[in-house]
Amino acid sequence: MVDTAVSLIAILPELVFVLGAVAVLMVDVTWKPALRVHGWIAAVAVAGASGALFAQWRDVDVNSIRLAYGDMILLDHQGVVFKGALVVVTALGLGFGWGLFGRLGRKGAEALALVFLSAAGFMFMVGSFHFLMLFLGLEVGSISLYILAGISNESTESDEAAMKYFLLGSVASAILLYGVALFYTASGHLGYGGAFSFVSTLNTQIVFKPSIVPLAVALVLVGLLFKIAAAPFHAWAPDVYQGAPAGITGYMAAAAKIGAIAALARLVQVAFRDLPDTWQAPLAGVAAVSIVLGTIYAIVQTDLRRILAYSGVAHAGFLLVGVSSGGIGARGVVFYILTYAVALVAAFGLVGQVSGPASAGSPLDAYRGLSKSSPVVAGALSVLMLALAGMPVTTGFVAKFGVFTAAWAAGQEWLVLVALVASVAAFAFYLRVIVLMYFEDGDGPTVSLGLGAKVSLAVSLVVTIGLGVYPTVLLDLIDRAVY
Amino acid sequence: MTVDFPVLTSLIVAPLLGAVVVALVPSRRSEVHLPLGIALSMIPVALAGWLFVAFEKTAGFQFAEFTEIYSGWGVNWHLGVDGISLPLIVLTTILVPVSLAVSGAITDRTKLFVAMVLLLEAGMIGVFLALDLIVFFVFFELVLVPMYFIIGIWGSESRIYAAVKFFLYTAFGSALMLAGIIALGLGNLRATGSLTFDYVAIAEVGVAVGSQWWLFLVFALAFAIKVPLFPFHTWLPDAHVQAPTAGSVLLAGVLLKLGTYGFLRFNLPLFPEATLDAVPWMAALAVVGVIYGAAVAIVQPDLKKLVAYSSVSHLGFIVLGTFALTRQGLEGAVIQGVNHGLSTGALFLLVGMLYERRHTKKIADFGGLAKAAPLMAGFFLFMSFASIGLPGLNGFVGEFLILVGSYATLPVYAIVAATGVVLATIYLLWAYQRVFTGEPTSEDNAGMKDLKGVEVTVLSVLSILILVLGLYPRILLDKITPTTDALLERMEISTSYVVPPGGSDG
Repeated sequence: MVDTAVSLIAILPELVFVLGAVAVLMVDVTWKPALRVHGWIAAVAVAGASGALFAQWRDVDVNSIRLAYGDMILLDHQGVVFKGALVVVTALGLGFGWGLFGRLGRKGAEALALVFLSAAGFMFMVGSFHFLMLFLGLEVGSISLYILAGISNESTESDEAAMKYFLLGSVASAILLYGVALFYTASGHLGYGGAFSFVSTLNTQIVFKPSIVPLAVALVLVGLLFKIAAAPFHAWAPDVYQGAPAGITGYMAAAAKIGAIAALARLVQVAFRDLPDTWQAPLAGVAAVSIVLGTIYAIVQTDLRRILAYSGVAHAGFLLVGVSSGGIGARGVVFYILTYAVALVAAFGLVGQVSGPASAGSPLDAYRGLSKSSPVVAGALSVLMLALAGMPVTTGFVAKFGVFTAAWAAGQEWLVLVALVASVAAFAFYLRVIVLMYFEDGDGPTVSLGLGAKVSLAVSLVVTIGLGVYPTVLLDLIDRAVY
Repeated sequence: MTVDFPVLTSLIVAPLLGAVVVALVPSRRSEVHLPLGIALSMIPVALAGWLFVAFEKTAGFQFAEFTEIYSGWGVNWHLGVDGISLPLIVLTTILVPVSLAVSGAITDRTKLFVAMVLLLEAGMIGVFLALDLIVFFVFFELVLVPMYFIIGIWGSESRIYAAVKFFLYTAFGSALMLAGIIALGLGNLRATGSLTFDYVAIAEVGVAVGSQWWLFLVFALAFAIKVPLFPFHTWLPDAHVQAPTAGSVLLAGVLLKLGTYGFLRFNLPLFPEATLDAVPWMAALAVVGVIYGAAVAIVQPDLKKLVAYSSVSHLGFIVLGTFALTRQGLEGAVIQGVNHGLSTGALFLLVGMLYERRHTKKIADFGGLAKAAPLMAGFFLFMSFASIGLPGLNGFVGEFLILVGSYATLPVYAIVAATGVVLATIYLLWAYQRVFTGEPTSEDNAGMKDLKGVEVTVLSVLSILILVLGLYPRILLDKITPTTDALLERMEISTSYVVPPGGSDG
C-alpha cells in the first residue's frame, strides 16, 4: 500500500531543494537573467525548505515517527533537526559565498544549483533508514561537492583540490559500499530495521561467517569517518579546504560533516546499537587520534584555511567523543554539530572575504593588523576563533561541555582528559590568529562585506554568542528530538 | 535572604552594559571613552557599597538568586554572597575605576580598552558570585579573554609572549578543573539520582572520600596557577611586567584572588578529608613562595618585577593562613586578600606613574626623586609600609592574623614565614631608598614632575581605605568571621579535625 501523503511529506525539504536547483538551471538557460534573479530563487528555496521542515516537525508531532518509501526513509524529529542544520548552513554559505557566484559568470547558476543538489543529497542521507539510501544520499551530496571544489578557473590549486577530493572521496564511498555489501552477505538485510533485529539476535542464531559482521561495520564506519575528516582518514581535508574557492569552502566542510554525523548517529542508535563492541572502542580511539593529531598539525600551519581544516579534524574527534558515548551522547552531539557548523561556515566565510572569494590559500600574514583596517571583521573572526576553541559564553563551550559530560558518564574518562588537554593546546593556534589581528602591527586589507555576507555574519554571531549564553532554547528543542 | 531587586545579577550586568555603551561611542571620539568608562564603573561601586551596608553579619549566602538555566544538565543561574566573597567584590568594584583613572597614557584603541576592562570586571564579579560550578567556570574562563587583550595590545615590548603564556598557563589549570567539575556533577547524580552542578546542593550531599583526593588536586592546580603558588608562578612576572598599569593593578588586585578565593570556596568545604591530608604540602608550598618571592624581589633590578615578586610572597601568606585551618588564619587570609589588592595595587600604580614620566622601570635609572616629587615619594613610602605590615596600617592586621593563626597548627611554617615580613622590609625600603632618597642622580630625575590631581585623588582614596582597615579592621572582620567560622565548623563536622582553641577575637 502506498500512502502518497506520507511519501511526500517525508521528502518535502529535499524536494524543495531539488526543485530549486532545477529552477535555477532552467531559468538560467532560458532567460540568462542577472544573478539577482537567482538570488530570489535561492531565497524562495530556503524559505520553502524551512516551511517544509516545519511541516515535517508538526507531522511527527501529530502522527509520530513514520517510515516511507518501503522503509527507506525515516521521518522523525532528530532528522528534522539535522536537516534544519543543513538548510541553515546552505543559507549562510550562500550569503557568504555570493561574491563567488558573481565572479563565476555564467557558471554561477551551475554552482548555485550544485549547492542545492548537494544539500538535498545530504538531507537524504540524514533521512535514510536503509544502507542503499545512505549510499545514494552520500554520493549525490559528495559528487556535487567534488564539482564545487573545482568550479573556479582562477587557480590551478582549485583543480588539484577537486581532483584529490574526488579520488579519495570515491575510494571512501567504495569502502562504505563494500561494507554494506558484506553486511548484506551476512545478514540479508539492507534496511536499518532489519539490520537492528538481525544484530540484536546475533548471539541466538546461526550466521554464515559471523566474523564478517564486525568487518562490515568497520568498513561502513570508515566510509563515514572519511567524510567527517576524522584522523587517520583526514589527509584530503587540508588540501581541499585550502584549494577550493574560499567563498564556498565553509559550506562544503559543514554540509558534509552534518550529513555524515547524522548518518553515523543513526547507525549507532539503530542499526548497530546492540553491537557496541564493534564501534564504541574504535570510535573512541579514532576520536582521541583525531583530536591529538588535528591539534598538533593545526599548530604548525601557516595558512588559516589549513588551520581550520586541521581544527576540523580535531572537531570531528570531539564529535566522536559524543557519538562513541552511545545514546547519552546524542544530545551533546546534535548541539555540537549544529553550532559548530554555523561557526565553521562563518569562519570560512570571513576567510573568503579577507582573501577573496575565488582565492586558493589564505596565508596568515594577510591578517596582520586586520583589527585596524577592518575592525568589524577582526572582531567577528576573534569571536569565532574563541568559539571554535571552546571558550565559555560561546556555543563552543556548551558543545564541548555536552559531549564531555556524556563521555564521562559513559565511563570514557580517559577520553575526556585527552580532549581537555588538547583543547588547551588548541588555544595556541586559535589565539595566534587574534595575535596577528590585534597585537601585531601591519596594514591588513580593508574588507568590505556585501549584503549577503553581512546578514550571514550577523546571524552566525547571534547564534554563536546567543546560544552560548543561553543554550536552553536549542537544548529544549534537541531534547524533544533525540531519544 | 531574598530581595526583589536582583542586585547580584545587576552587579554582573552593569559593567557588561557599560562595555556595550562604550562600544557604541564612535572610535574617533577617543577623549570620551575613558571618562565615560570611569563614570559607568561607578555604578557597580554604588551597588557594591549598598551590598556591603545591607550585608548581615551572619554565615550563609545572602541576596541569593536562583533561576534554572537548563534542567537537563542541572545548571542554574545561582548567585549569592557571603563573608568570603563580599570583601573581594567591594575591592573589585573599587579597583576598576581606579585603574581606568590612571590609564590616560593609553591612546591607541581607547574604546576597546575601556570595553575590555569593563568586561573583565563583569567576569571577576561573576566568579565571586557564582554558586553553580558551571557558571563559576564560565566566569573563571571568561576573565582570561579581556586580560589577554589588555596585556597583548597595550603591554610593553614582549607583550605577546606574556599574553599567550598567561592565557595558556591558566587555561591549562582550569581545563583539568572542568573534568573535576563534571565528575562532581555526575558524582552527585550517582549519590542522589539528580544531576546538578549547584554548589550548595553538592556541598550539602558531600563528596565521596575516595574521590576527594584527585578532585582536590585538579581544583588546587587550577587555583595554584592563578594565585600563583610556587612553582606555578612563572607566568606572573612576565604578565605583570608586560601589562599596562591598569592590567597590573587588576591582575594583582583581583585576578590573583580568584585563586585564593577558590581554595576557600571549593577546596576546603568540598574536599575536607583531602584538605587535611594536603595541609603540610600546601603550607610548604606557601612558605617556599613567601621566602622565594621575597628573596627574588630583593635582587630585582626592575621595579615592576620587584612588586610582582612581592605578590608571590604576599600570596604565599594568604595560602598559609587558609590551610592553617584556624579561626584567625582564615580571617587573615580573607582580609589579607583585600589588603594586598589595595597596597600592591597602589604600588603598581606608582610604578606606572614613574614609568609614564621616565619611560624606565630600572631601579638604577632612578635616584633622589623625592626632591622633585615629594608627594609621590610620600605615597610610595606609605604604600610600602602598608605592604610590609606596619602596625596601624591594613597589612599588619592581615599578616598578624595569619601568623597567629598558623602558629597554632603549623608553628614551624609560621616561624619561617615570619622572616618573609623582614625580607619585605628589606626589598621595599631598599627600593625606596635607591629610587627616592639622596641627591637626584640625573637631570631627568631632578626635573621629574610630581603627581597630578587625578593621581593624588586615586592614591588618596586607596590610602584612606588602607588607614580605615588598619585602624578599624572590625568593619570588615565582623562580616567575614561568621562565614569563616562556619567553614571551620563544617570541617569539624565532616572530618575528625578539631580546631585548636585560640584567642576570643582577632
